[in-house]
Amino acid sequence: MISRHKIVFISFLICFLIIVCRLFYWQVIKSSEYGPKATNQTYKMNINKPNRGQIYSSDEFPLVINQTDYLLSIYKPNLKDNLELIYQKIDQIHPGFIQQNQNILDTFKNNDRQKWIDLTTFFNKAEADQLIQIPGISTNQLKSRYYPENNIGKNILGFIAKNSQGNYIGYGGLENYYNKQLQGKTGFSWGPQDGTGKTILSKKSWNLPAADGNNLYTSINRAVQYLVEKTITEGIEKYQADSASVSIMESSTGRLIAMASVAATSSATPSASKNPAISDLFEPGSIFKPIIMTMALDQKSINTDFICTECSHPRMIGEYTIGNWDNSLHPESTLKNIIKNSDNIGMSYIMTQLGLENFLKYYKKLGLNQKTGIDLQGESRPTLKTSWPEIDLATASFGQGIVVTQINMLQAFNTIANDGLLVKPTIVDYYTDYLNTAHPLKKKNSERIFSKESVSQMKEILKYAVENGVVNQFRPKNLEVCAKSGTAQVAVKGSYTDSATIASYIGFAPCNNPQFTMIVTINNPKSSPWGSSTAAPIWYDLASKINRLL
Amino acid sequence: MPKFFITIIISCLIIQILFSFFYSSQILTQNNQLNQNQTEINQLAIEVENLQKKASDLSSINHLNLSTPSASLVPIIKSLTIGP
Repeated sequence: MISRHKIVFISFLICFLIIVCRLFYWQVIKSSEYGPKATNQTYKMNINKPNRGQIYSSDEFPLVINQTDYLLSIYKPNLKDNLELIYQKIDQIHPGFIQQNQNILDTFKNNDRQKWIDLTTFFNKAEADQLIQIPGISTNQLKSRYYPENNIGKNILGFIAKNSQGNYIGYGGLENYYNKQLQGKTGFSWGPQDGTGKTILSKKSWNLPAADGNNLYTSINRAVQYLVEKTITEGIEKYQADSASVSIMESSTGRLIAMASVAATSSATPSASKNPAISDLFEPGSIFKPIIMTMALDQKSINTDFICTECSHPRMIGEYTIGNWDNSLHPESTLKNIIKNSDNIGMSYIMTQLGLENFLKYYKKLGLNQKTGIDLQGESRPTLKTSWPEIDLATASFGQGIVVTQINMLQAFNTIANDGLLVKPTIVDYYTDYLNTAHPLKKKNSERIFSKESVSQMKEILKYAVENGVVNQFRPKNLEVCAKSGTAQVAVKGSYTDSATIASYIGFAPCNNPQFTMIVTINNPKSSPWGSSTAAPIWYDLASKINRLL
Repeated sequence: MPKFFITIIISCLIIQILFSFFYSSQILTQNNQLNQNQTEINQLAIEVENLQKKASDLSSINHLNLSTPSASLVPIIKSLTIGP
């Protein structure tokens, strides 16, 4: 008779052996099949998203930073109160919530089959912390960009948005141009997780941390940028213009100090992805005259004793007549008077002396037929015509019939300010990587275009023209300025229209040791079409203030 | 023999249970610590973000402009002349 103890013992032993055999079967015999399945169930791959790099002004103030927003989801089955009450609770935490989402919330409330809703309203952390206390409500984190200076420099900065693959990328300005550097490198981690998704320590797990994007440090002076945007907004209203753009660069280095474009109505204001200062092509008009004159002086086609002996009458070229903007004539004009009076006839004769070949040589050396290469997305490439009949060459002497961008014009004019050396415009000075190591960006070497002597002569002419011209009334007494106004006709469908002009003013100050070179262009000012009475006052207003800020 | 065998098996079981309790509690403690640290890091990162946002808001030109009425600003008109 077997004792009961033995029966229990043998039963336990059999069960134990069965379990051991079963485990041996699963873990040893079938290990190749079940092993990977078990690993897949417990080991998870996580994507570690990097923080996008931030953008700073010249005083290291953040112009663009990251912020964490929270999006709200409501799940009906988990709600303990009725929806109307829930909406009111959310509205108390985030005033305006119901008003912003009225239609969606009504539809969700009335549709019994819809159990879940994701809303697009952004909540901050404090609000999200209160919201998740309400049963049935959950929040999701979302990284977005924040602009402490509000809309300042939006054409320069650009913005981020989702692309077709659902990834956030930069559009326009610096956000697009430096997208690769800003977005950083995604990290990955792989390891076991428990049922709630929490990491379990394991020797097998590995982690490749995300590398945050580089921070960009720009040359943008936020005080000047603010001032520029405020001044041109007021200027557009004052001169009843369609839009206006201003660009300012440091004369000796090409570092951009400010760049802004504003349109008259908010609906027409260029979006952050478009920057008219680098994308819009325009005929520069009379602001181009000093460049032509410097070419002629440098080439020694003319000298400072030049007298326009033919300026007593309009110039006839074939069927075309070249006259002056006010139909006046300035016989025996010197170079100083040609610039002071903005004499088209005198300029056309200087161009004849210079000749097409020399003109094109300097034009290309000044980079007027190509992009400047400024580190901003969206720069347009100017076109240069291939055939040059005599009349086209003559009109090019006063900036008609050629097209450039505002930044092209600024770069070329700055060559006069910078003693004949051409410097490329830049915005980013240096960047810091995720280890906070600073990396200065390589600057292109300056290139000599004009001799110091010819530039010095041109500076004297410009200074004389300012001090003896109508614009002198706007000039601060203590500021020595070398500048030129321009009023260009706008070509519409192949012919010039009288109904629209581009008024502009370009110059640098102080004349002998320039701190900045600035261009102001105003599209279609209706109070007065002339650059000297619209763009010039804005230029001097800004110059007097900038001079104190730099 | 059975007594000896039973003693061995029960001892093994007790040792294994004790070992797994000790070992798993250690793992659980470390895992909890890891998760707590990760949560704390995330919260601190968001806090840093918020503080940076607040600091930059308060020192932005926009804020200064709105909070300081221009009428209350007094232009500096005095100058100091230093000469022999």
